[in-house]
Amino acid sequence: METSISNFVQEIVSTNEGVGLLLVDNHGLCLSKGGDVDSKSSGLISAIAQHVAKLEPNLGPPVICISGDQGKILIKQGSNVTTAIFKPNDTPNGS
Amino acid sequence: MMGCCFSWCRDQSSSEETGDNERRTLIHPDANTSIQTNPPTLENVEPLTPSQVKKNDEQSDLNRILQNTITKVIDISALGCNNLEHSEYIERMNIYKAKLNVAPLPQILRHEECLLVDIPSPALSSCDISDYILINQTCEKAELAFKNVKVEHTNDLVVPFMIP
Repeated sequence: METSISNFVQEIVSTNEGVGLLLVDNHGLCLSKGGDVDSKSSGLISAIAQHVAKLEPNLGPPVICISGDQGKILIKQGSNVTTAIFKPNDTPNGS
Repeated sequence: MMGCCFSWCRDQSSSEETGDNERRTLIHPDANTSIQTNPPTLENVEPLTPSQVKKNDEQSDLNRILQNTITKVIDISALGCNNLEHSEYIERMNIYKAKLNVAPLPQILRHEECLLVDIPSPALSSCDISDYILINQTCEKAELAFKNVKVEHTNDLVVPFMIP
């Protein structure tokens, strides 16, 4: 039933070493997760994406980058799914 | 401010009659003689001499109004500046942190886990183009994967009970 999402998450996590992926619906509920990610962050991720999108409501959904010493969190809100990528600093870049 | 202005517009005799109440003049007129208490009226304007030009008289009135305004306006631009240097920002942050550690705050205000807890100073880094491409592609694929979710029919949602 949800195998398409599970397979997609596993594909992203296996392609990008050390990367965590969190998929959240528009209600802030966790759809799926992969890698070293806490699913409790799903509500916060959704709230951040929705609030930042209100800064420029006439533009498309922005890419949010929360950067810290240990890594960065990339967030983008889609029409149905908000995607969050947890990326450590020492991870080699992959596409 | 309005009460203060209102009290300036009244004459001194009426202010003395009212005594101590909430409409009393906050600053006594004798305390600062540099501030003109009465607005310019026909009585207190000095008579024109033939040598004075009417234009100069208007200019002096305007100057007097300007002077009155200056004495009543508080210039807050000289009180302080909100632009903090980076070193001063760090210094203040350390002071506030030290005070917060000492202060007996409730446990609910001491968040040990938060998203930005590992940032010691304001972050100045930016998002790489590779990260930008990665999140955009992942978001598009996630939308496609979400649309491919289908409900598989396994059991009947409405089950007839064994009612005779």
